[in-house]
Amino acid sequence: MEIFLNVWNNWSLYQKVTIAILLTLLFLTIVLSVKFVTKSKQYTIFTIISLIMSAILTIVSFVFVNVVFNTTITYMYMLTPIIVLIINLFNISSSVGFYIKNKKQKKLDIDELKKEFLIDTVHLTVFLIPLFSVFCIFVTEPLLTFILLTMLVSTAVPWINYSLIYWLFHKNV
Amino acid sequence: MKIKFNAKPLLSYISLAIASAILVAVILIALPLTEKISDGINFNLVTKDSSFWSKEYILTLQTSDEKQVRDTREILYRRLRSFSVERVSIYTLPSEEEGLSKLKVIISSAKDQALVEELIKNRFQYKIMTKKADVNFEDSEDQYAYMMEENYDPTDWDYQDFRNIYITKLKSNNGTYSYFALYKLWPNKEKEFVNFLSQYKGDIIGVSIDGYISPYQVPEDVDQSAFLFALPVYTEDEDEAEIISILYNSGNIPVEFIVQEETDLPSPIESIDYIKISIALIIALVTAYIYILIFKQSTPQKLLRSFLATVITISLYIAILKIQQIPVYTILLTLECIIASIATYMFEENKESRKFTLGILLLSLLIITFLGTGLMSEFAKGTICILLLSALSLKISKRYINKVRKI
Repeated sequence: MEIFLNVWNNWSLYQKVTIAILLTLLFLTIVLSVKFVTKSKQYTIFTIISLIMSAILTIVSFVFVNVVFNTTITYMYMLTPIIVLIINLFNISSSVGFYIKNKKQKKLDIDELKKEFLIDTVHLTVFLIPLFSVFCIFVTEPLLTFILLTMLVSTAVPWINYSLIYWLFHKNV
Repeated sequence: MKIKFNAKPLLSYISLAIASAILVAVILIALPLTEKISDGINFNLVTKDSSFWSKEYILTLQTSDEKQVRDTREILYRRLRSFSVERVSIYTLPSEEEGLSKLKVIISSAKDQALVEELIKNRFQYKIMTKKADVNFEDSEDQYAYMMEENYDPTDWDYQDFRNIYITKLKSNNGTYSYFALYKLWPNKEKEFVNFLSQYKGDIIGVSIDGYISPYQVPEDVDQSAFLFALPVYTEDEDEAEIISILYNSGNIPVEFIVQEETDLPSPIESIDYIKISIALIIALVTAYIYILIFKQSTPQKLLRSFLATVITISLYIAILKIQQIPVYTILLTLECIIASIATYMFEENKESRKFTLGILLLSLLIITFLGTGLMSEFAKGTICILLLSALSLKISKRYINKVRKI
């Protein structure tokens, strides 16, 4: 809790307002875009939960490295949420793409959707792990923790999405 | 005998050869250790890493009022953000002295240190003053009398009467263009200000900024036409003009303050070996593609298209940075290249969602560019460019491979 209070107290009102507007706009833009394109309640709920889960995971990971490894969360870590968001958007939009492709069908094949999602998740993992891993070889602390943390959270988010698809899409839409 | 000559295949060959030559040139420019490929043009990657500095400032404010301290903090933050300073932290420190408050300002930036410091060392409070009746500015024994605040009387006109100060280049008396500060009044004050100036037609008045006077000769026709109160800004440098504009327009710091302490801090940005990381990323990218190919996760055609498009995207981006001499942070460039590799593959694999993905990403990154701070904003800007290049490269790659196949 102390970590959040420190951040909150040390931010100026201008910073607090800007960040609040930024987060609100990002959230609304993504959710409304998905809703507009898919016109599906399930997809919208999936997007909302996915965004919230990725935000929670990012914050929890910051607290974890701060408490367990005593690492100072520097302003470099502000890049982590952006990278996580980009990876999450690749993942969410790939399922939206599948929906667009199958839009003409009256029923969406959930097994196919899950299969497609699994392939995309595997592909993202295959790219994320080697690309970030080689980056880790050439950096030292404190950058190393930042890269490792970003890699782990970015890789975890598509798998969380995959489990969400399993949980939310248990019957055909 | 009539020879049938079909120009189409020949043109196709020529265009393919030109495209291949351009592609090779772009890759060569982008690759590390090819900086000396030409003596005529510099192909060095300009990095910001070495120019990054970090410093801590302790400001002592002549007040113990919490609101005034908060307002000062807000204005300092706004000033530094307006100049796109990468990292700004402003903390309130407990002060042991009565009637005084302290602020700790930590700045990390690649921007000119002297310019950034102007933003936190100046209160920049301005007011209009009139010449004292008994002072002679033409006295040869005191040539700088017109610059001294004690030679002027205060008036009721100050920063509160002006809604905005616009810094722009105008033609000066000698025909050259120089920076001027155009003082724009609140509409209800315009007539009153002209009436005030009319009393001093042809005389010198002064604008005092933190005690330093900028003299201004009131024109004889001040009340006869649309009047513009323009004060010369003594700089030719664009960045310095921007600083002055920010200082004028970022709000009024309500209290006097001094910079009590300045401490250099170690740079928080680590410099990355550009050559090593380039080789490593190429190996990682090839490994990822080989994995997908071996495990038959995609078709060889798709993989070839996306691999070529990734090479084009990254090469084109780095080549533009090198040719245009745009300074970059190596860490951000590396992250942008990672995103480009993933984006190009995902765009190729999910063609049906390419437009939606690109649209939603660009929209989100635009929001981050405008509302994010420092590195966030810079990273978002770079990623927007590389995503657009990625979408373009996929089209180039598809056409290029199709043409090669037809031959």
